[in-house]
Amino acid sequence: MPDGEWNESVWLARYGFGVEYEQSRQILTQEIEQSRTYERNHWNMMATMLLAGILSPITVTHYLVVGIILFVCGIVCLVVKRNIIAMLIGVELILNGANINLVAFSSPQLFPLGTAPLLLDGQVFALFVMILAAAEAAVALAIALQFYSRFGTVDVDQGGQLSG
Amino acid sequence: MDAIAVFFWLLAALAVAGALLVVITPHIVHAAVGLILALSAVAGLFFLAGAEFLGAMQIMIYVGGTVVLLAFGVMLTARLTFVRMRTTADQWVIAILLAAPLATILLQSAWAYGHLKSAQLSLETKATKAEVVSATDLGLALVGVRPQVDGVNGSERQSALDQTTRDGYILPFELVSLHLVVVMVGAAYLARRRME
Repeated sequence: MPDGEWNESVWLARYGFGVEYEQSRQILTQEIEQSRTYERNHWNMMATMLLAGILSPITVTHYLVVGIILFVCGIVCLVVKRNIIAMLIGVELILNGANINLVAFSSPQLFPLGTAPLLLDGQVFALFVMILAAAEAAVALAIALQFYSRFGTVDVDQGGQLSG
Repeated sequence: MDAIAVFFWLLAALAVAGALLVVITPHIVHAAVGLILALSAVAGLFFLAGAEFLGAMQIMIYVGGTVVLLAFGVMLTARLTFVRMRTTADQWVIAILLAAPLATILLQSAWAYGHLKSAQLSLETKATKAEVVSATDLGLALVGVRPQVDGVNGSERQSALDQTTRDGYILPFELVSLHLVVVMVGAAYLARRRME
């Protein structure tokens, strides 16, 4: 909403200074007051929704959102970094985001009484993901060490020998 | 607002802060610290979700094993000019262009799942016996026995699940152990010092 005084001068320029001045001025102040009330209610509503979101019990969606944030951070890390070890850290973040989803869907706490979709399977698969992530980190670090001893750097852009 | 919600928001904030630190910092050691923060917070989230054994494994394998491995990788490959690698502005633009649609799609699907689930839960209110996954169940499943499904309490679930899903995880368990042996031998072979 534009500033009141400027708006008032526009009204005056449009509708003149005649008899309608008081009337138009009243309408204008009413409109400004309405818009201010609307904005106040709007912010109140937003704050209420935020508070309700924080105060509401933890559901599976909360866990999914945390997993999504970790996943996207891992993807960005994998894309942006040129250090091969930083890329590995990004992969670990991606796997953890997936693990959070698996655990959330297998959790008896988040689903009421036996309605969890993956009761035991989710935890077993998360365990397998952890084991495979440890194995992947070991092999990838061995490759990184070889890369370093060959090129003298861990910048993946320097290892372009095989590109045509 | 109960204690679980308080701890959830605390741990979720820590996890997100660690992940953002990993992405934002140009310094590789800071990224490793952010990873430790994020992984520990995720272990706490596992505890909150009722997966205590997984939380302990997360701390032991990830925070205790993988991060130490990464730290050794950093130390063995650190050279002062390459520890710090700048990310240029156009790379950030590309990354944001990639991340924003991905995050939007995933958040929409998570939101949709929440709505679907709440609608379903209002429909099905039948309360079965409370099921808790303990470390015993996990270990038994890994050697091929699943008492939660096979046992007397699981008669309702037994009809829903066919025979193949009740066999447990003995084959993946053996495969993953074989895989670990191969990986360790391969990693030791790859990382050896070359004789010249």
